Amino acid sequence: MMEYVLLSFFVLLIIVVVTFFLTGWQISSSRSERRSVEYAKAEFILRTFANSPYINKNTYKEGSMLEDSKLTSITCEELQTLYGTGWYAEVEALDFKETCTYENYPFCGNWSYCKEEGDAMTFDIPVNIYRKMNGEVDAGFLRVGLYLKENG
Amino acid sequence: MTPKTKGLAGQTSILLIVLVIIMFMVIGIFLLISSIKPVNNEYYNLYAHNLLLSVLRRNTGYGGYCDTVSSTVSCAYMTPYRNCGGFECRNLSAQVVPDLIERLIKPTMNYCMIVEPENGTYGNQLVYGPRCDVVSNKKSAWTANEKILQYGANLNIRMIITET
Repeated sequence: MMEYVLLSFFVLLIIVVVTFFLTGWQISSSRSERRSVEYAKAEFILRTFANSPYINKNTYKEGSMLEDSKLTSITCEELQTLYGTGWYAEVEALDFKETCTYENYPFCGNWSYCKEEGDAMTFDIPVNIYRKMNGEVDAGFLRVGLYLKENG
Repeated sequence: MTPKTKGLAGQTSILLIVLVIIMFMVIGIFLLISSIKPVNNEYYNLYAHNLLLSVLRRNTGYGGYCDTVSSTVSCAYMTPYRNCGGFECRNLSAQVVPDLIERLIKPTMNYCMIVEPENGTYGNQLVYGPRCDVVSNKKSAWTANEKILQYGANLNIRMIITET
């Protein structure tokens, strides 16, 4: 009799463990699926942003040559019509850290779009910044983040 | 229960325990394997290419033959002793290139930039990077290539980046 009880206990234990495992696996695989979709979206925004004709200097076909005047004049709302919502972008020049406005342009080097509070998946790449007023080419960073809807 | 069946029941229990242990181990290994994330090569390739491009296109502030980093590198290769704003091209490039790369690259990364003539032409390499021997021998590295087209010899520029 005792053997049957033990056997039943082990069989039940195995069923419970397998159930937990399959459920956990299903949850983790759907999480990782969602993460990879978010990853791809963030990377897509980074690439298209770096090469967008709206902010790039026209004569550089290879892209990643962001023009400071275009960066200053474009707004978050205009960019959201292109890329949708739920992301932010930031361009930072190496030598100037001040946020650019119409008042301090061109003596500034930080442009920020659609930035808000919250966890984000962030990618950054080096880019060039073309200074329209003196024709100089500076270097800096383009940072793009995709806001995560929930943690996990 | 006879002593024979008693012994069999004991064996069955042991077998079940062993089976459960094996199952836990299999689950553990499976979870471990599924938690290993592949490296995002596409992003790092883009990063390496943009790093190289941003460095080469930047103005140095010295003008003349060393107006941009790319022209400074070219001058350092072709005419290393030519004067650029009070410095020899070779010295200026050895100062400007690593300085700029180190300001742009992620702190967790190493780099190596190699300048060499296009195939078929003779000449030495110009190498920038404090740990080029380590970087160029690492298996997981990302490489970007660009060309400087100029009269005399076109130059191939290779940027290799790795995680530290």
